[in-house]
Amino acid sequence: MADPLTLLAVLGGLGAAAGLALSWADRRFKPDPDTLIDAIDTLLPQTQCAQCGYPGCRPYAAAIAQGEAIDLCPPGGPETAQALARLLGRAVTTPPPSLQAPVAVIDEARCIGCYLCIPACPVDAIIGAPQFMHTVIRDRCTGCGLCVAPCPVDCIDLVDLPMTEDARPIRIMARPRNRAPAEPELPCIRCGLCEASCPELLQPQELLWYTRTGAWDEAADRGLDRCIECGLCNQVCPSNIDLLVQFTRGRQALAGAAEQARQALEARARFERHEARTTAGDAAREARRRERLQRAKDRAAERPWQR
Amino acid sequence: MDELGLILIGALLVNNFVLAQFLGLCPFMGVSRQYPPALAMGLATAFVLTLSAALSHLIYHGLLMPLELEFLRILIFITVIASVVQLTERILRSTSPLLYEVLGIYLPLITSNCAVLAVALLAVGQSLTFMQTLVYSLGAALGFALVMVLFAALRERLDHASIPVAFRGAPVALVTAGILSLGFMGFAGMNA
Repeated sequence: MADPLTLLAVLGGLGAAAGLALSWADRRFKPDPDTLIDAIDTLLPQTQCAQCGYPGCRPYAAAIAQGEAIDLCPPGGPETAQALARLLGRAVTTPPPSLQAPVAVIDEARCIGCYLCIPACPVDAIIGAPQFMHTVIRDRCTGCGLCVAPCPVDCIDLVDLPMTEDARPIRIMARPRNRAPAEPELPCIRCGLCEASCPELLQPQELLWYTRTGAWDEAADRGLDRCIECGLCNQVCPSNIDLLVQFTRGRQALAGAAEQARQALEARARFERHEARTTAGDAAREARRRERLQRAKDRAAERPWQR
Repeated sequence: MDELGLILIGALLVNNFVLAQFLGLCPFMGVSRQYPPALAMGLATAFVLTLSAALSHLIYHGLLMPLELEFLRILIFITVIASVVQLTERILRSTSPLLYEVLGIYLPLITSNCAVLAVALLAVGQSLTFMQTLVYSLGAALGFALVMVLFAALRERLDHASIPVAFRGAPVALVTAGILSLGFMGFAGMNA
């Protein structure tokens, strides 16, 4: 039996060794927040509208990395909140109704063509020219409201458009389709008739599997975007499964995601061009002003009697 | 050499810590919803397990046995495991913050993963040499990672299957785990 002193020495010594090792590790492996912030930043819509309360998308991404709420981005809407929740492993929260994207509308009868709102728009969603009426491109507008304040005649309003259930303005109108079969749907028996019927050589029964569970990425991998929505698979299916409805829905989801990604990229590029243009203009103006000032000073130095 | 091979296979398959000895079930059920985090969790646990078992062995034979303090082993081993987990957490946080976020609470919970403590205690209890302990813990670690990956792949397939409503989620996962465990019992015939 060991004496209590050895016991205490062993426990204390091991504890101290562990503590020292950990404090060394703490210094050696500093957390690198940049990778996370970049990942968050690519999910944000890059409108730089500042509605989240931060000066732009990048600062908001940094704040999210520090633990800020993920549902403060009105242009991104619920999709962005969901994507962020997936990325960060946080609970999905939807933005409060007051944050859901409205759209700016110009009352064209009152617009005087002053051109003040156009430079204010971060996504260049307002078209028009000086002395001509302006209007808003609805699909581009993120509802940030930055154009409202500059308007001297108060002709811009933020209007809530009719929303789909996922809170995006309704854009796609349902078009009439082949009717769903009148017979009740039965489970898929993997007969492979749909596969033989598909003119695009896709695997409809596999696509059905993935579109039913909403696994859009897998469906895309298996060529859902090549489906021409001809409905032949519907006609041959002995179980009366309405494959077409699933594929149409899946293709809309895919198109929506791709379109959103494209718009975000475009918006960022436009914002950067806009930024470069305005800062370049400011710099040139400043340079001219200095030059004029210098000339005036030189003149005054040459002819002191004219003071 | 043969003996080391037997120890490796024994710890990896025959006496698999999750499916044959039913240790470490919390991360097994908790982080196996999707494949990538399951793989990451398996590898993180494997790293902690091997390192802490080796350290425990050194401390036990180098310090506790000569001083006749063997009764302290549980206390000391837990300290070692906790430190190694903290170390892993710091490394992971700096190299892959996304993974760190994904693993979340399960990462510090490796500390309380009983498989990790069990490997250290069993290795000492069977009075293995250092080399044998290393191979034994490596086998246990790989076995854990293997089971995590297998089960995560099964659960990803389950997500797409049509399952009766009452069975969706945890119930069917538990049933699947049971069948997988039955499969692993077949290895007992190898009698290593």
